[in-house]
Amino acid sequence: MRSFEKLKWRCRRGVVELDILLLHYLETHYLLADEDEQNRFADLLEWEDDELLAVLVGGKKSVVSGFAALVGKIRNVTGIS
Amino acid sequence: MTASYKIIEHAYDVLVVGAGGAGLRATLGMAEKNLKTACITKVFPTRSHTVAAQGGISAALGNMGEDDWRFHMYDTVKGSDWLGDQDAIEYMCREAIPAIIELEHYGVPFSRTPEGKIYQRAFGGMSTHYGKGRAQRTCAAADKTGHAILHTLYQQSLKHNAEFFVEFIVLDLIMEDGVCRGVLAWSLDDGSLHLFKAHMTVLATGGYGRSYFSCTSAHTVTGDGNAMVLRAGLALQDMEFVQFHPTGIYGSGCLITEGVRGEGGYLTNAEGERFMERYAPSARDLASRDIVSRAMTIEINEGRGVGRLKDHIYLHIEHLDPAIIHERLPGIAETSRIFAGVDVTKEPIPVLPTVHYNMGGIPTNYNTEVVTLKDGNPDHVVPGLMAIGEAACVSVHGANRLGSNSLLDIIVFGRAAAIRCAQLIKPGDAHKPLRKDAADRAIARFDKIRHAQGGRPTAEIRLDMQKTMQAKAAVFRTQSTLDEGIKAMAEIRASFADVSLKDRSLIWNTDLVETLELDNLLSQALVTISAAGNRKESRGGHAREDYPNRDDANWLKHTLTWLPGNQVKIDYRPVHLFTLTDEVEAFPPKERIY
Repeated sequence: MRSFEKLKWRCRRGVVELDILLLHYLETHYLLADEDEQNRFADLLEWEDDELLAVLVGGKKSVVSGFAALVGKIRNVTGIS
Repeated sequence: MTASYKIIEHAYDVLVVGAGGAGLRATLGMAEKNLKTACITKVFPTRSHTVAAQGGISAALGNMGEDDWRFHMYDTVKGSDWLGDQDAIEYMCREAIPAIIELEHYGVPFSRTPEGKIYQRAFGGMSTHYGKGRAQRTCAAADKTGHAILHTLYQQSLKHNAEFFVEFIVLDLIMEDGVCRGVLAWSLDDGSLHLFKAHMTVLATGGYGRSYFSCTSAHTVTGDGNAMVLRAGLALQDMEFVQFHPTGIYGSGCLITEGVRGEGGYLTNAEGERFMERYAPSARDLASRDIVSRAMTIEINEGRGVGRLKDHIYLHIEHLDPAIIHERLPGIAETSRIFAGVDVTKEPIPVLPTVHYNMGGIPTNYNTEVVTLKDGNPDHVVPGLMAIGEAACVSVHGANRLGSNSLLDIIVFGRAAAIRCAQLIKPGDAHKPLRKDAADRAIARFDKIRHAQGGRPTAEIRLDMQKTMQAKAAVFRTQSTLDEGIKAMAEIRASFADVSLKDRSLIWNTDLVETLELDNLLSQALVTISAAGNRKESRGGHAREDYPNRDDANWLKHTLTWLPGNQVKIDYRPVHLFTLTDEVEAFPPKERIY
């Protein structure tokens, strides 16, 4: 089993915007997600910070396919801190 | 007690703690010189906070017109409000030129001019001819300079066989008779403890922004190295000097770039007044960071803040053409939507002066060796210990750092650490054995915190600290607020004795990591606010309402703070008002006017 705590540590990034977005998803959606989405989230955490920033904060389309739904879910927040 | 922990021992020529830009530049430099080097880091190297440094790195290359490292030195001395050590500033500005050329050769993809030279742009505070002209001195790799530097240095370090210990938490320095002999670290992945022995330990652990409620820092920015130095009985320097950015989003701290005000954005208070007109009649919302931050804080303190708690300010861009917002301020609309819940074309962005950089840190000389005041000698070198980057106080930034000088600091002094180590250490030099009890104190602290069974969760104590630092030791400082804050911070730090942990495991225990980090933050918060209460003048990032002027007669000196037990001890080191060579004369203090 993938450790939730390990994923929580991997949500620690180089910029606070990513810390907040990734941690928010982990704590509110991850445990309710199906296995496929959970695996995809673990894959997403392997991305470089500049790609994550462009896609999650900047709203750019990812060049990697299959992440659109997850990215949409992570970005579908307003006023989080 | 040690019997209950499995401890794995390692021996290296050099240890580097931290894998941001400074740590990686040092690691690469050491490995290039065939020193057996380990870099120990909490997070994967390319996820360090250097990622956030998007602006660029300064060096007087002169690619875009006339420039000279002496001009750069003058700007940095002036920017520091004369608290910077001029020998170290000379070193940084001279060595900037070869250090950038090396970075280019290592593979950092700098943006270029049509002729293929490194492109350089203008940045606040950077001039030519000692303030007369405007310098184009800042090199950048598009808007990803920090990330590009991390990537390049990490790849180069691997190529030179440096070893990385990733997702390891360094717990404490191992000190014997005033000499640093290595560190104790904890591996999150398997829960093991590791005793690293080395001839030199280089702290590259960054700043401690997370001690404030509103900061632009990533969650990992907890100044662990600074706190280890305090626990080792050594001093930190100039901790009262904290740089604020005027427009962090209220709540999250996410940065709204100054470009917003450059494009016509303006600030208002609860009465809808554009208050900057009162504080800076000509520059208004484009006044310098410290002036805007102070004005915002005064508005809030006088009851004219916005929001339910009247504790922040509005930044307006809803009057701008959405096409201009989209074209010139990309990302602002998205950042505001996500982190403030605001549609910037219709409503203002809630903002607050936000901690951005720590000028203070571990005192070092320009060779990056940690120094302290001992037996009347203010330059006593602590053998076996170096510090670089935001963790260090060399001091090249003095009371105030200039934009694009922080990436320069980490590269030049990461490199300097390696140059100095090559002089001090021969690859493979034999290690003296450590004492049997060398790690006992560090293990005892770790074990005590791991088993803490008090009544208060980590997050609750952390919020107390952050709110207190924000309210009492932010931009607006007077003796009464600082004294209240010092008392409150001492109580909050004492309340750590009552912390409680939910998780006592050793594997991926993020609760324990955050509690260890909180302990680190608490000691830094206490020395910061104590140093601020002690310095009775205004200089750079330290602005006192009750002492509004700089006072060179009494305060042209570095503050040293120790924390033996619960009482902060304060003393001083002289500022180096002399240069390293006779190729430049020292710049005597004068008024800092832009």
